[in-house]
Parts: sequence; C-alpha cells; structure tokens
Amino acid sequence: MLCMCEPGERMGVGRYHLHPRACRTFTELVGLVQTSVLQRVGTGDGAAVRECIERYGGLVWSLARRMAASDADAEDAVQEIFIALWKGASRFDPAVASEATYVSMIARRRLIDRARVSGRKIKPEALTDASAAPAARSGAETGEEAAKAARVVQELPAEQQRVLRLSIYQGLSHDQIAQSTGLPLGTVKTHIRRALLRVRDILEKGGAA
Amino acid sequence: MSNADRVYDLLIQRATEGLSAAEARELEALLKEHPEIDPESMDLAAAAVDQALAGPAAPMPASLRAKLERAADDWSRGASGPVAVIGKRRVAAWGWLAAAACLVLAVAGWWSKLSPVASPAEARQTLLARADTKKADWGPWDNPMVPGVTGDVVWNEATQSGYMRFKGLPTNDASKAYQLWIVDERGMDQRISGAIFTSPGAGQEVVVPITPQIHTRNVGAFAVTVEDAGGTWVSDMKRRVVFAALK
Repeated sequence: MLCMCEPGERMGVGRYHLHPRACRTFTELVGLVQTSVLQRVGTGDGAAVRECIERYGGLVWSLARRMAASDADAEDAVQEIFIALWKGASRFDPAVASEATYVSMIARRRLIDRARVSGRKIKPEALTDASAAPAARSGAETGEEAAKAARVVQELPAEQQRVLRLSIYQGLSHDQIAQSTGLPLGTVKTHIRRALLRVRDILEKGGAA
Repeated sequence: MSNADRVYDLLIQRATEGLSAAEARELEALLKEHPEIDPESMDLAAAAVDQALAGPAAPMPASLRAKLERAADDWSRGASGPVAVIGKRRVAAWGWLAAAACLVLAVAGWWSKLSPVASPAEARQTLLARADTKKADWGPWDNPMVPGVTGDVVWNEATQSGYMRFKGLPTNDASKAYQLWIVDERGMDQRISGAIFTSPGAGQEVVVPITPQIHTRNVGAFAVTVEDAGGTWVSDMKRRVVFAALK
C-alpha cells in the first residue's frame, strides 16, 4: 500500500509501506524484488548460492577482517556467516531492509558473538584514535539505507561520531570505549543509543536525515 | 527505567557488543511483553551505520573463495527442488511492475505458509535413504542424569545435515538445554555446535535436526552435553549425555 507518511502520491512515484518496519520508494521495491539473491537461495535456486558469494563475499570478508582477531579467525567466520545466510535466506524480507544491510546484520551478529566468546581480542589498531576510521560516505557511494545512516552520522556532534565509530566500525565494547576515550560509561551508552535510535527512525519513516 | 527502555538497551547492546546468555533470556522474555518493538530494528540500524562508515569492500583471498564455492556446491546439492521452480517462474512472470511487486511479496509469504514441510522424522527417513548418509547408535554413557538413553544419529556430509533420534531422554529444567557437538577432522579443540534442544520427556521419542554452525570436514563423532539454556560456544564437555562415533 502507499505509505501514509506521504499520502496522495501517484503510483510509481510515491513511497510504499508494504511492511510496517520500512518505507520504500517504488523503484527501491521493484529493484529489491528483482535482484534478491537471498530470496532465490531461499527457494532452492542453486545458482543463487554461488551468486551470493560473488555479490557479498567482499562485504562479509571486509567486515570479518575488521572485527575478527586474526585473518584465520576471519576466514572461519566468513564460512560460518555464509552458511547462516543460506540457511536463513528465506527469512530475508526485502520490504524490511535492503539485502546488503541484511547481510551486514547477519555478519555482524556472528562476528560480535565470536568476539564475546574469544574474550574480545581487539586488534591493536582499533584502540587508536577513531579518526583512523573513514568518514561516513556519501549517498552516491552506498545504498539508500547506508546513505541515510551516513547523513545521521555526519550531523552528530564530534564526540558522538567518535564513540559511534569506535563501537560500530572498530567493534570495541562500551567499556573499552570508555577506557580509551576517558568518557563515563553512561555517556558512551547514551551516545550510542541516541545515534542508533535516530538511524532507526530515519530508516523506518523513510524521511531525510 | 521502563521495560520498553530496557528492551532498547538490550537491543542496542546486542547490536554493538553482544549479550550474555542471561541477558539474551531477559531480552527474549521482555520482547514477549512488547510485541510492538521490532527485535531487529537496532541490528539493522547498526548494520546501516557500519555500511556508511566502511570503506570499499576488499576482495576475499582466493583460497577462501574456493572453500566457499565448494561449500556452496554442497549446499546446492542438498537444497530442495520443487520450490525453486516457483521462484524462477515468479521472476520470469514479472509483468506490470507495480502490481507484480506486491504480488511477488504476497506469493512468497503465502507459499511459505502453504508448502508442506516434512516433519523431522520424515526428513530423517529421506536423508537415511541416501547412499552417502552414515548412521551410528548412541553409545552407553555413565551419566546418572540420563540412565538408559538410546537412539541414533544420521549424518550426510555432502548436504551438511543430519538428525538425532533419542528414546529415554529426560526433560531438563528450564535453565538447561541439551547441546550437540560435532567433532570432525579438526579434532575436539574445534568442536562444532550442531544443535541446542530440549526433550519433551523420557517417555517420548524425539528427532532433532542437526545444523552445524560452520562447514564440517569429515565428521567423526557426535556428543551431547547439558548446558545452560541458549547453549554455549565454550563447553567444558563435562556434562556429557551420549556419544556416537561414525565408522
């Protein structure tokens, strides 16, 4: 159905709320449905399983190399993540999130769990200043959801941006961020909470950041 | 702090640094009280931020790609067939884009509800009929908690799937669950979690699917332990229940 956020727009140019969690443009909706590799994996399309590696191998490997304690650990994690993706492929709903964001979410969950089990052995470079992390990228370089998130991050005060980068990008625990920045733990948690709730609002409502 | 605030605290913690088993149980219970809260909302927000901050993706090492492609081929051979036909027709029949986009989503949802799903017992029989499936009986184990448990395990390496069957497996209290560990050519140090499950009671036969958390290589044995509910990645293997070795 047409999204109630922007009532009265003509079919084909309006926004659609097929799922209560996400608002999508018509073009996004059609594009997601037509190109969803995970949906094809979920329906037993064998070719899509390899295509999934082709499309998301780089994304998952980059995430794993950043968040795992070693390259060997990253390799094990990547295999685990792809098997989880294939097994749970039918659960992917393009009305809720883009495929890349969904893949990223599954990969992050696995990597965070592995980090907890291994005692969160963060690479030394992660404890350096967060400015080492790249700036949030513009919409032209990323998908729609990432572009919206980037706009939210860019609007945050510098301290909040730094905390968010240490948490999301570097994979530090809240305690580790408090220790490395000197900020109280409560402040770290508040910064992360505000930023993520803002991103969630923007993603769900489909508005501009 | 309200319960809803606590839910968001836990969702954000899960999305950024993970939860302990106790916190995961707390979150699960709280989410039942707050069905209006989307349990994946914070994970998706964190994933979107991650994508926004991450640089261009780096290519995978060739050796890893080769391993994944082998795993993909194994997976494809084990995937079910009939539904794939529906998937292909669905895409090919895309006509009037607006209507079809909605239709496709609806058909996907309806199909998942309407298509018959084999029970674990039926799926076990199907897997057992394959020539490359192995079967082993659970061996006796001196654990006073589970006297007299019997049954077997079937495993197919190519499809990375299998089933455990138990008779006489007692129900755990709510704080505990059974967990299957798979031991392959990498040995006990890299044992693989294969399932976390409960039993309806010693008087009933139970069939449990095996879903390894990573790709296995030449599985040699299976062991079931009693762990805290929700399972663990670091079992000390002290509370073993049964053991089976594939020949």
